[in-house]
Amino acid sequence: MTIDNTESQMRKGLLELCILGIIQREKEAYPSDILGELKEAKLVVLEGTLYPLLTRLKNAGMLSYTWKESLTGPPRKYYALTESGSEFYASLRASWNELNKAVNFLTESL
Amino acid sequence: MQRIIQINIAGRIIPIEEDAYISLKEYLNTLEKQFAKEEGKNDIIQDIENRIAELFMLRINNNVPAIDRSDVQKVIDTLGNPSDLHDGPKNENSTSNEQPSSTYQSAWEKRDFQYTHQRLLRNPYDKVLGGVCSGIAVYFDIDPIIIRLLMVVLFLTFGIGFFTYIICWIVIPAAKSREDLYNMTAGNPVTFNDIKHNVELELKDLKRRGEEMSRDLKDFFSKKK
Repeated sequence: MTIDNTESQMRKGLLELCILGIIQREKEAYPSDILGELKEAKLVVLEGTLYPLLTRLKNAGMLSYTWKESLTGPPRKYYALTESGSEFYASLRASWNELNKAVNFLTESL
Repeated sequence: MQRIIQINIAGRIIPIEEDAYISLKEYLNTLEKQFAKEEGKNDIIQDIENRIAELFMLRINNNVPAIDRSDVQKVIDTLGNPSDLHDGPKNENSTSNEQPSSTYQSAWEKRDFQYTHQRLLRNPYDKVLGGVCSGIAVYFDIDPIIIRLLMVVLFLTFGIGFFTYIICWIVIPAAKSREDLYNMTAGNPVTFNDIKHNVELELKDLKRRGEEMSRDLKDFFSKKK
């Protein structure tokens, strides 16, 4: 049990929420742009963890993607939230807010 | 000399050195195995290949003639080891997230580090020639004099002792500290370079002590006169 381990577990758990948040805000997001935003927010993750997560969310019906032409290279895959994806995100976000409040309350009162 | 080959990753043509290509191929193969049971495996691999191509293109646009091994290693570090990436429901708390930034190399370093068991070491703190005998004495926890006498007998009777001693001197590493010596838990497996290095060190030390001894003898005799 190390701090590093616990911390990376936390990050991993919240990654899904953050990705959905980014896609929600951008309407349509290209994976590399998602990575860019995560890095900008200092939420450091191994880049490779993003792709299985996106695919899993897609298979669960939360995301869909479309191919779009790009000026600089081959066509790109853009991810967007489906209807159930938006609902899922909304409820995830609500439970995160509650959790956040609860954790702050518990740890700050000490 | 490196052969440069052209590969097509996710629709981009990339020039890459041959050995870099081999390690890239290895990485992708392990990834494929890792995600083999995952639904949508092809999507994942496709996305990852696409990202790899993108990162390579950044390099190529920087006027690099071809992707080499260090570029591939950097990409692997950025994307992560296959074992770090697969965090599906199947193996929740296995090794998957212990070291997010570990590379193939550090796995090897770890292996070396675990190489600690009882070891025979030469004793540099009590030696006549190379500290072989007193090292053996520490190992078996007996008086070094006994080992030395035995060795002298072997020297005289068969001459085998001489070669045995020289070989032991070369092959057995010296203890780096008293602690190491008595715990017999020193460091790494011996490599050829270690041996070469050790021999050089020992020869230097022997020369120094030989000079000391001849000086002492000279002093001794000049005093007598």
